[in-house]
Amino acid sequence: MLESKLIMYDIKNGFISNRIKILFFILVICVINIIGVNSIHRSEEMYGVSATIMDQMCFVLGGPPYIPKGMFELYTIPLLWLIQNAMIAYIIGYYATNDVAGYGVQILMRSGDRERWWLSKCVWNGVTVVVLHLWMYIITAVVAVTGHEKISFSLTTKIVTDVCNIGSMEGKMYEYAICIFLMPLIVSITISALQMTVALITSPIIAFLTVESVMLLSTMFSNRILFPNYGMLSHNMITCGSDINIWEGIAVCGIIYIVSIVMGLVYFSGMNIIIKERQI
Amino acid sequence: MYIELKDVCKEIKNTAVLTDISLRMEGGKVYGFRGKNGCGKTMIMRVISGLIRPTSGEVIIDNRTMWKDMTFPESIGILLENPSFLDGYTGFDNLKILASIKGGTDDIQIKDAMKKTGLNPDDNRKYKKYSLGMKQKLGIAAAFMENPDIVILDEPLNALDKEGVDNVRAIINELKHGGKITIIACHDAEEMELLADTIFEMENGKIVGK
Repeated sequence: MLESKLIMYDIKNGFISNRIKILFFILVICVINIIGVNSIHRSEEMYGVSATIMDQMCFVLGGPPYIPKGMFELYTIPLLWLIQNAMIAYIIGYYATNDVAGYGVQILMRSGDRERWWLSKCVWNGVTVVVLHLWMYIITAVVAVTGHEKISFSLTTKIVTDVCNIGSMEGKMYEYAICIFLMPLIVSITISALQMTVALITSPIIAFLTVESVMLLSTMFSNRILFPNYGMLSHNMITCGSDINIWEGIAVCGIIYIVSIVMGLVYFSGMNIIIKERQI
Repeated sequence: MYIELKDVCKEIKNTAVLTDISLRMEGGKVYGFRGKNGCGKTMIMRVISGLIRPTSGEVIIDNRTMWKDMTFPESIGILLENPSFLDGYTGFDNLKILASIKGGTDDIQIKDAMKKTGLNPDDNRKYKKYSLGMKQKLGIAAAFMENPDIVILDEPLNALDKEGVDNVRAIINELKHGGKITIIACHDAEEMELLADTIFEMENGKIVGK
């Protein structure tokens, strides 16, 4: 009962306090989608094929180009992909640490339990990431439909290899669906949990820079240690012959997620809560 | 109801902020902590409230040891140095959200607490429109609205006008007669003499007089 009250408080307060950032995120996703629609239309005309909603999803969620080993000269910073992920990190960044330095202290003391309070923040974190991804799916679908793309869940090979950084199409349909819809969400939930824990132990800025560095490095190197690679269809073995695969990605993300939550729990259990000086 | 601190020490970044604090506080009394800025008054309050873990020593509340038997005192209200509320809600709504966590405090009790501090519970202004004095009053109301056994008020008179100070005096008196342990820190020596039954003098993280 108390848990549900805490979670409801966090979800409501989290969305209210982040509403401007969320609106900005929606705007960014709209802009990315408009760029996507234009690129896809050019490709449609060039190859004489019709694009689908799934192609548009692939443009937004498919990930940055795969850079084969020893060919780093091909690398360009994938700004659109980095910005959309940076926005999620920006929304996640300050809530828990700000809450524990303000009103949240009163909530924490009334909850009578540090563990409950932390786990409620973890639920908020996961829910926020899911909601942000739902916004991405909805906006992408709406932009695709208004851009006269076919309502279909199949990928158009010529289009995705031309504009969505996909090397080849050697997987099964369900694998593409998992890579486009599920893996970016799983990676995002994992990195957000990691970010919240690092923010608690260090500071929100250090946490933000840490996750963004991991993201940036993942766009450069298709390495299993850089787990955001698991959230990129373009870096997956079904499109580029790398050793990044879905099932390993789910397991790795699961482990990192649990470790992050437990680390945060242990740290917060003994953390000194020092409230900022009052401005009177 | 009692609070006992046994040889409590706290170090932060290798600096001793509390050294060998031992004291006992009983229900129905008002205890004051007095001393210069940075002498450890606020730190003691944070230790008692469970926000800070002592480096050594024990805090015992009614036979239960903090950090062993409980994370926070079961029945405590605290006015923090930096009372913080949600900007987009009215004072009443802010208190209602807090009261909803534990449950058991109804709207009448919340409104009553607000009135005692001099706030109008039907005021529709959002917290962000509150003056500093009103924010302080809301912090005080949040501390005692749930009728806790321990009430900690850190600098309760800050930003208050004469009427506000009189209200706080009346609230502290009521808490005392209700058998509560009231702990206050106040930089106004005269006011402290009036409010507290026992005053602990602090210097460099130590109690140097009573």
